[in-house]
Amino acid sequence: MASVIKIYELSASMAGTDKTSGTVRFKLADDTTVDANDPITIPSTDISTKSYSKQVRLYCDVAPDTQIDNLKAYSDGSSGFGTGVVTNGSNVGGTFAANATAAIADGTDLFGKTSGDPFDMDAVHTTAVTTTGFFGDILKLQTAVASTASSGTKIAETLTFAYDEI
Amino acid sequence: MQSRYRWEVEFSDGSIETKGGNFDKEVVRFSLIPNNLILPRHDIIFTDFKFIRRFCRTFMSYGVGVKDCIHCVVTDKFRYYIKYSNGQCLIVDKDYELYI
Repeated sequence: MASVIKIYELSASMAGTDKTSGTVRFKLADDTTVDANDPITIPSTDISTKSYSKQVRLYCDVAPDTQIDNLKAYSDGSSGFGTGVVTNGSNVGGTFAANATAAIADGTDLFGKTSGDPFDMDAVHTTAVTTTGFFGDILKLQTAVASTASSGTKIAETLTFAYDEI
Repeated sequence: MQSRYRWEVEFSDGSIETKGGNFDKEVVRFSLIPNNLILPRHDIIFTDFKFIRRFCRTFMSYGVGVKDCIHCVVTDKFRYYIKYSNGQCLIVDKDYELYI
């Protein structure tokens, strides 16, 4: 029987929220709610406004027959957020730390991470998955808005997760 | 998506296995069998090349869940990828990693 894997957003708690059928919204609040509250404001100067970081991780709801490994995460390589909006990502391993608006450490352009050069999501949590529970590394994401950005709700972008199952 | 196909391998002694990724016994046939008859069946008969391992690669995203799966059979000469969404196959170099 194939495993059942879910995508969780870890905001304000390690337990997180199942977003497999939902979306993640960058905002100026540390919660997983997708609404129009607490939008990222456009600054008047060259100092960008950073969202609270978002942390995403895979969760095994039904265990595989044998194992899961080779975890990857990547974008389509093309940002639809427009001028002045940058989204960075960083693999922060398997330990959750609280979200914040400070710039994430070692963040790289999410849209520079494609299927040809994805985030390696089992670089730290290397153990093959055989049982239920959270697995792999946490991907921390953050969006920064510069003064050159245009106002309004941005289009949705897709983050793809891939894993090999035996 | 994962339930669109099931797989089996046949060994040289005639026995069948439906779990696992690599095997101690010689594999003579790998079959990917559709549960939906619209999709094509795939059979690989191992003659001048050897079975190394198999796995299923799953692709997920927010709001969609599982977008697609590809089944991969690695041999000593090539890889055979089969896409679950439409049954298409792709034969590539034995070390080539396919992401969609």
